[in-house]
Order: sequence, then structure tokens, then C-alpha cells
Amino acid sequence: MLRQRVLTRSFPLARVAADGLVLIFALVLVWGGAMLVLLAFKASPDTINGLSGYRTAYDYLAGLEAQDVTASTRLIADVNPRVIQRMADIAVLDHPAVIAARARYATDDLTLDVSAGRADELAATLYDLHQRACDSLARHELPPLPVNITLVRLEQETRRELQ
Amino acid sequence: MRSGEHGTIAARPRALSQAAVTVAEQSRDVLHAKAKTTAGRRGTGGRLRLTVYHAQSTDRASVTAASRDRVQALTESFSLRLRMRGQVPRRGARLG
Repeated sequence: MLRQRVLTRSFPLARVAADGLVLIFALVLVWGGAMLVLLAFKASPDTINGLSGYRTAYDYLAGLEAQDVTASTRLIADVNPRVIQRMADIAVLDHPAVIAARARYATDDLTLDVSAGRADELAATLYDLHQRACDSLARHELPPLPVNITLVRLEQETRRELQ
Repeated sequence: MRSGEHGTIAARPRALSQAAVTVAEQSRDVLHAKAKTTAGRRGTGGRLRLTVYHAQSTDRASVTAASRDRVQALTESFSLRLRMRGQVPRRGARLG
């Protein structure tokens, strides 16, 4: 009796990529084994390092210190994103035309959603807010980030007033 | 409005509509205004359709021209194409 079988067909490119990865890993293992064999046959460590670069890479990584990390990397890692968001909020809320602001900090940009209270000179207001946010980043010695300002709402004055 | 390596400066369509209504209603001859802004497909700019309601005794052409002048700064700075209409509200309509 013939047994039924379900054949699973894999994507050909994925098979080639998987085979390639296996091949690379195998070559690395063979290369490492060859270095060990050379060491076992009393080859000089300088020769082995010249072939593999192991000691050079090890010394470089072991010699890394705090000052080798760039200033921007260290600052981004240290400063809490909420602090940056609050700082941007405060910077734009100082503007008299701004009623509310909400900042969101991503790793590569800062987005500010702004509600304005005045309709006159709206474009100039947005440019000014952008400049204020950038200045605030610089004043606090934070790395310069792209700042996205979006006007999301204009608070309209009520038309019924009792005076 | 502007997009570059320093970031983007933009406005939501509804906010621009609110701004256009506020600016248009600053005129004494305008009783009420309605605006609708649609964003352009290519990223910057868009269209602003503004309807100003005025009294029957007021000249429509002068009202629309005055309103157009008022919102011109807004439309230019946000690259909006303005389509303006003057209209007398129907009898008994609630304004505002």
C-alpha cells in the first residue's frame, strides 16, 4: 500500500542562503581548527596572529575605555527620553501663541505636536518653535536631532462673550 | 511646509481649516465661515476651500476679495491653493 506523503517545498532562495550560512560557519570552524593545528606544531604566535588577526582584535576590544565612546553616543545612552521630551515641551510652551505641546522622542528624531491659540503669523510661529526646540537641545548639550513640529489644533475663540 | 535634515515643519489639515476660519471671521462683513483643507498627494501643499457667509446687503465680491486678502498669508506659507466662495445664509440658518 502506498503511503501518502506531504511534500513541503521551501523557497529556493532561502535554501541557498541557508546553505551559504552553513558553508561560511563550516569554513570558520575549519580555519580555527587549522590555527590550532599550527599552534600544536609550534608555529610562532606572530604568524598565527598575522593569519587570523585574533590578538589584534582582542587587544583593540580590551583597550576600549569610556572616552573612546563618542559624546553623542554616551549622551543618548545616559539621558532619559522623558527628560528630553519635557525639555522640548517647556521650550515651546514659553511661546505666547502655544497653548499645549506634546513631545515624543525617538532615537533619531524629536516630534512635537503643538496646539496654538492664535491664527495670525502661524508659519512664523512654527518656525520660531522649531528654532526654540533646536536651541533647547543645544543649550542642554544634547546632540542635534531633527525636530519635527506639527500644528495639530488651533483653539478657536468663543464667539459668544458677555462683557 | 518644510522638510529637511533639521526636521519637518507641518500642520494638520483640520488645524489649517480652523486657522482659515478664524482669519476670515475677523472681517466685520463675514457672518460665518467654513473651511475644508485637503493635503496634497505629493507631500507638501494642498487645497483650501473656504466659504464665507455674508449678509444679503453686503457685496459678495468685496467680501470674498477681502477674505482672500486676509487668508493669503496663510495659503502662501503652507502652499495651499485657495478656492473661495461667498454665500448668503439661508433664512433661519444658525450661524456659528
